[in-house]
Amino acid sequence: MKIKVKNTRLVSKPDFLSSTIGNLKNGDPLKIIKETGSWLFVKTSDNVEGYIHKSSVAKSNVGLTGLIPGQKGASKDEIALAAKGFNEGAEQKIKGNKGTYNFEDMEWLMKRTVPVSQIVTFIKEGRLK
Amino acid sequence: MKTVKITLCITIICAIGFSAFSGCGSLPIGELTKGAQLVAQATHTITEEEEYYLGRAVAANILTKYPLWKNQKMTDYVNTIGTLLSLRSERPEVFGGYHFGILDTGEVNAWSAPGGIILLTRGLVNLASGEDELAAVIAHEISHIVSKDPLKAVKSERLKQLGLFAAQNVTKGELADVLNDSVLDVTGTLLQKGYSRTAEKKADLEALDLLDAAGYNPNALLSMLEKIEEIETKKAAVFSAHPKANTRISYTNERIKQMQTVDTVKYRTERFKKATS
Repeated sequence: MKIKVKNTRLVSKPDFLSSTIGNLKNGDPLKIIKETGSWLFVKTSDNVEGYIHKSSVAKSNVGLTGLIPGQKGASKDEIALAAKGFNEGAEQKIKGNKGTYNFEDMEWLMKRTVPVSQIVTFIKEGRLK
Repeated sequence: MKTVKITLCITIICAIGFSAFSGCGSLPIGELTKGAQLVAQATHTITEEEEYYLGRAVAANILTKYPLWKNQKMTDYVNTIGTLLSLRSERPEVFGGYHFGILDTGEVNAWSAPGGIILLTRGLVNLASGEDELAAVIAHEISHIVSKDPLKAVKSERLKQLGLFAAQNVTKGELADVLNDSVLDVTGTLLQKGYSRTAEKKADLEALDLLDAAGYNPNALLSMLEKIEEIETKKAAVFSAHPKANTRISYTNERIKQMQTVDTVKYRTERFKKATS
C-alpha cells in the first residue's frame, strides 16, 4: 500500500482529530497491520506505527494494479504511462492562457488551510462533533 | 431556537470523473509493450492526482468569470466549517485537501470543482442566517465531491484520448489540449447544464447525514431551500442549474422527519455574527 494523496498525517487513534505521530507524502510505502472500520493501523518504512484513513491509500501508487493479468502492483511501464495523464506539466502549458484561467487567485485559495487544533477548538466551542 | 435555518444546496462541481470508456481495440497503438497495449485498451479511470489538476484548472477558469473575495476572516471561517464537514464525510482525504472560497458576486450559487475546491458566492453567504445554514450548503457540495459528480461531466472522448495518450509518446501540448477541453466540459455542466435530478437529490440527502454526523442541525438545509424557493418565485436567478427548490424541499422534509436531531445552534450564533460582521 502507498499514500495516494499529496500529504497526510499518521495519527495516534482512528480519528482525524487525534494527535499527529508523523507526516506522510504521496508514494510513501506502508505495511498494514490491521483494519479498524474506515481506518488502517499501519507501519511506515521508518517502523513507526499509527493510524491512517483508508481514503488516503492505494494498492499501488498509480492505481493501475490488475490491468496486467498475473501481475500484482504497477509495473514500471504502467507507472510511466500514468504520468501522461493530467499533471503539473499540462497545467503549466495552459497557464499561459490568462483569459481562460486565473491561477493567481486560485493559488491564494489553495493556501487557506485549517490546523487540526483549530478544528478541535471549533468543535468544542460550537458543541459540534 | 426551534428551527434552524439553513440552506441549501449549492452546487456545482467538482471533479472529474471519469466514468469510463471502455475499449479502444482499433486504436493505432503501434509499437507498444504488452503492458502499454493493455493500458490503452482498458477503461481509463482518472486518478486522484489527475482529479486534483483538473479541479485546479476548473477553479481557475471559474475565477475568470467571478472575482475571488479575498476576505481573510470570512474565508477562514468557511474553510473551518468545510474542513470539519469533509472529515466527517465518506471521502475525508482527497489528493490536495479540501479548499473553500467565496466569489464576490451577489448571485446566489455554489460550485464544487473536481478534487475538493468549493466556491460559494457572497450572495449565497449573505442568504444564510446562521452557521448551520452555511454548513448545509457546503455539505451539499462536499457530497458532490464524494460522489465524484464533477468528473462525470468529462466527455467520453476525452477519456478515450487519455487512454490512447497513455500508450503513446505525447507532447505536453496535446495533453494540455485535452485538459483544456475537459475543463470546459466540467464548467459547462457546473455553470449551465447542471447535474441530473438524481445526483442533486443524492447530494441533498447525503448532506443531511453529513450535517447530522458533524453535529449541525439538518433542518438548516430545509430552511435554506425555503429561502431559495422564495427567490425563485420572484423569478430571480438562483441555483439556475439545480432542480426547483419546492421539489427538493419535499424530499428533504420527508428525510428530516426520520432523523433525531439535537438543536445546539445557539452555541454557534455569536461566532457566525462575528465572522460575518
